[in-house]
Amino acid sequence: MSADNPNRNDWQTVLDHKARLLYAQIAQLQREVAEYGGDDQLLDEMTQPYIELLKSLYAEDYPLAKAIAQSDLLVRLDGPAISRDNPRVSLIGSVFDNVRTQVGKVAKAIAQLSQKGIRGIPKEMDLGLSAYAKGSLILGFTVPTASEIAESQQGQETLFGEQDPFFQAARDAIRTIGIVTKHVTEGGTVEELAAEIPDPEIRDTALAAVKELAPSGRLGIEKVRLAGRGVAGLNLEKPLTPLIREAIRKSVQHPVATQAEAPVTIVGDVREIDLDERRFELRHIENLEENVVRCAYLEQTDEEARQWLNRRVRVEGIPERNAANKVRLLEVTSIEIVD
Amino acid sequence: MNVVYVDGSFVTDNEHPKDIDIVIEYSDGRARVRLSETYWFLRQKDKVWHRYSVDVLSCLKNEKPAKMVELFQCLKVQDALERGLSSDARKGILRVSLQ
Repeated sequence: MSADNPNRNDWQTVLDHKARLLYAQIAQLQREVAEYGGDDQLLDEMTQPYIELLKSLYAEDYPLAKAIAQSDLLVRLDGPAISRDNPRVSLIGSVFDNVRTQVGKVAKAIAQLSQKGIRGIPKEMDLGLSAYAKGSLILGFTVPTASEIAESQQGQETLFGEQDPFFQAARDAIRTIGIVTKHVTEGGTVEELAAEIPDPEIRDTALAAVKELAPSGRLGIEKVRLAGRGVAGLNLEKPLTPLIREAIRKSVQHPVATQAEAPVTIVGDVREIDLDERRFELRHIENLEENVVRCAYLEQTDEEARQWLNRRVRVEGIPERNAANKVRLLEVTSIEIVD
Repeated sequence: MNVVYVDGSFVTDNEHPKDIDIVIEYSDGRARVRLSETYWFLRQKDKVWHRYSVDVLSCLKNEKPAKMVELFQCLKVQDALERGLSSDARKGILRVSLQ
């Protein structure tokens, strides 16, 4: 790599190259002004445009480049609520909470796939805020490193360090959210997404997460874009918008990708109902090897759903299985309490 | 022969363009002309901007590094982010030859 032919794979290199070009221009002008007998005032005036470009580079581009390089997930928001110098702290707080929640939900679905019995991502592995850029609202999030967690726990390392399945699940969750975002912003079909994310539970959870990350339009946010090293290479050119949120909302009402399977009946305990997403988790399932099945219901009211929590139920519905032929998602057609 | 490179929001897909940036590339042996003309432009900067929304920079064709044009072809980080483009993306700008 040389100054004349920079490797442009990262912003730092590109910006360093731009800065060098500007410094070289200023040096060239210094030589010319001296050669033709100009004074300091002439030099100042001649170099002023290049100085301004350098200022902009250091004030705007470098901080943003650093945020991109250091963030596993970079979320950029645009809209009337953001087009001001000082966006509301409550807005930043709600975006921050929403991103952490949605990444956590997807990470949990992924972790459950690899380890039975995992209930969620531990608190100390929550995403951290890594960057904030003024103007448009840009928030960077990172998955903490093993040493950062050890620091916060007085030197107590996690059992597997960086190889801990929770770390991997959090990183995989960010990648999965990126894949779903690309899919929904480019108008892909459910079948195409099923080919990319074969596990039905992870796919359904990620779709719900991306819906929640997409703007509703009610808070003065019109577009949300995702970037960062966790979604590098996905080329997420199109933003999430209220229209896309609505399209996902309709599509997740019937989440099973292929309706060709015969209905099944399973019995288990209802845990963790999400009334907004109209989903619940069925655990301790009778006569099935899998421990958890994500269930989607459409017809029942919130009041009915509340009565299922922590009860044993018999559920009939259309299943979707993973590659190992295990039921991972069930579109409920009927449900009754049996305990 | 001099060459003018034209950049700025008028040569993008921006629906509300604001400005035109031009880089005048002077041919070899015209350093003095470049200096005096650029100085004139800078002295008229506010007037030129007000009337034409134009900012002017200049360079010599064979100066080292002779890559001022690259500066404008590299996207700003914010613009790239907005379009979902990576750091190696480059934008097209107009090149006008002056006879």
